[in-house]
Amino acid sequence: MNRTGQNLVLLLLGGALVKISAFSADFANYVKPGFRPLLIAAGAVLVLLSVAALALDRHRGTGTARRADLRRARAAEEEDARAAEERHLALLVGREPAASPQTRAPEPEPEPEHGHGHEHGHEHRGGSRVAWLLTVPIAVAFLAAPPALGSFAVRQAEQTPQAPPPVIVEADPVTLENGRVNDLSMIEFANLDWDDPGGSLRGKTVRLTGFVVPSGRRDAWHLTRMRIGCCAADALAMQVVVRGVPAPETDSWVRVTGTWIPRKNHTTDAYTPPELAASRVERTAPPDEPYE
Amino acid sequence: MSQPSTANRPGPQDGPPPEAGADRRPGGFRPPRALAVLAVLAVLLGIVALPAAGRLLTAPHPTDPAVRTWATVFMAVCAQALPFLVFGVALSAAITAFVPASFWTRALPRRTYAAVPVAGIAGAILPGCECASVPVASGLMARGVAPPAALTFLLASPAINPVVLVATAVAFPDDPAMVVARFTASLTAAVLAGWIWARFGRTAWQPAPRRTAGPGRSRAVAFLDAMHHDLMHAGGFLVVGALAAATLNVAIPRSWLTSVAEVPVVSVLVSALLAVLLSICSEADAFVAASLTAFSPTAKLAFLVVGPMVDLKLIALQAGTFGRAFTRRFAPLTLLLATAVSSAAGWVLL
Repeated sequence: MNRTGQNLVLLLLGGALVKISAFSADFANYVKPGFRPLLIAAGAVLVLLSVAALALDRHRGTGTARRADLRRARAAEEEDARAAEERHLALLVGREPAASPQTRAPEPEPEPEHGHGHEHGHEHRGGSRVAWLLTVPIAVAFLAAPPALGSFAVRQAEQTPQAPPPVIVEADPVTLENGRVNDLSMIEFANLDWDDPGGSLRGKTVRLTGFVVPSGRRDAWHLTRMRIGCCAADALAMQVVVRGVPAPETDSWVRVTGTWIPRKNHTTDAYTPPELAASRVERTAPPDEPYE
Repeated sequence: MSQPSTANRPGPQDGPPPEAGADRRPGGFRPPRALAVLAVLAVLLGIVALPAAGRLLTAPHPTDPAVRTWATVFMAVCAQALPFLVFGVALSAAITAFVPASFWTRALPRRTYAAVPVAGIAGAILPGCECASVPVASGLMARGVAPPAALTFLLASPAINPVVLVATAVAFPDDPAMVVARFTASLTAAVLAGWIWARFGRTAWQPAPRRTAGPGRSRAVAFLDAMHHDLMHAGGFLVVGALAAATLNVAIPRSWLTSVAEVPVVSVLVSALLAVLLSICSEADAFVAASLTAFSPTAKLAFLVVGPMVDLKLIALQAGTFGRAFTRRFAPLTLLLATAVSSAAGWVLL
């Protein structure tokens, strides 16, 4: 890849980062919402860098040949001056300049092993070829814009025994009220179910949002939400067993209203997901922040 | 090379003018400028037109769930790592362009064996994940820091900085010893790796970081060049790592791995292997480790110590930054050390 190509790739890569973070909510399918400013800043840096490099290259002729040129420059200096003068004269008298010895052709892109000696060395054998791979995330970001993880990833990440919910320490602990619908996150619900001596879920109506994953049993299905620490590569599934209503279409997003089914035996250490007796299921659009 | 450099052809429009004093020459015709402007326009047009074309082609998303999951995980690894890579590269370029080499000779002990542990502890001050530390270590080497010391910094920094330690404490609320064990084991393994490299590393395998600016270039130009160069190479290799990590993430059900978790020694090896394959950011790996309920505490510790030092994404990044001859030896060495040290630390501390 030559220098201009490299700059274009950098420009597009920066554009892809800005596109997924500043101009759409796509980024929330891949990383934590807090990453947004980082992504915008990194995209802006890439765009600025590529524009600056394009401008710089325009100034000094194409690309990395400059280093070789610099080495030659001293030897060629005198010749340069003469040629410049000749060209100037030629322009003055309005005719084609004679053969100009200083049209040092730009060397397109250094073949790694070639011509740059100690400067580029062995490290980049294949280095400029591997830069082509940067077009893959660009293409995926612009062409495919993959959605948030769904039921396939849940099955892939499933393990036995299941992990209990990570303990969350909240500044404002949730308070549930009787006589109204309490909107809870999946992690709040799971935490209250697993470790709440006060039993504050008992008798309360709660509403949870997630996507549908079949459980393999006829009388229940799994309402699921992925939880990520940093990016979708570290996603963990938070699941609630929903009973009492038929399973909607797999991977569709739903809001489920219902009441908690208390655990029968809390004596074993093995964790099982909490259960919910549903009274109402509404389809809903995938949220802008698909992960908890 | 498409044109011999000694080309002696008529016509100033034959290629761009030489950079020295080019703008003072009257009547210089500059095709590159026009080309560059055209290219930028084409790219901007592409940014607008490509999504539409893509939607038509894939209408509206890739449909196979495995492909979709793969694409999401791939984008996730890229999106998560790129900001850190960009800022790491910027920091590294700043080190090469603006911090004089004499600073490092004063800051670090002169003897390599003494500089190694100092560099390891200094790793605690770079709050970020492993993608940032690779270019920074390369920048340190370019500025004359002894390679073993820079490598120790590279290994220690993603595992022992405050952000990562706090995340570990949050992920293991009932187990504060895990934080201590992670810090101790990571630092020990990093320092040992530095010493072993100082003792046995051969010149031929030495990492070859970018050279510092030659004479006659302004610092800003040196900064720009260093960033550009590092991003192209490290970025390409980061994509290699992301491709591999996404593929394995999707191809290997986690239940396969947890089924062997009961066997004592094997579980440590498997969780170390899992850390290498999954390539999870060091700021988030503690949550995944905590979720591996089937594994013993020592195996979880191995996951936490190995991950920030060796994983697919890092191996690719190191190969791109330091060369393959280096990575072929350094990655197995660190994997071995990290596994052994975390086993020992787990036995003593957990």
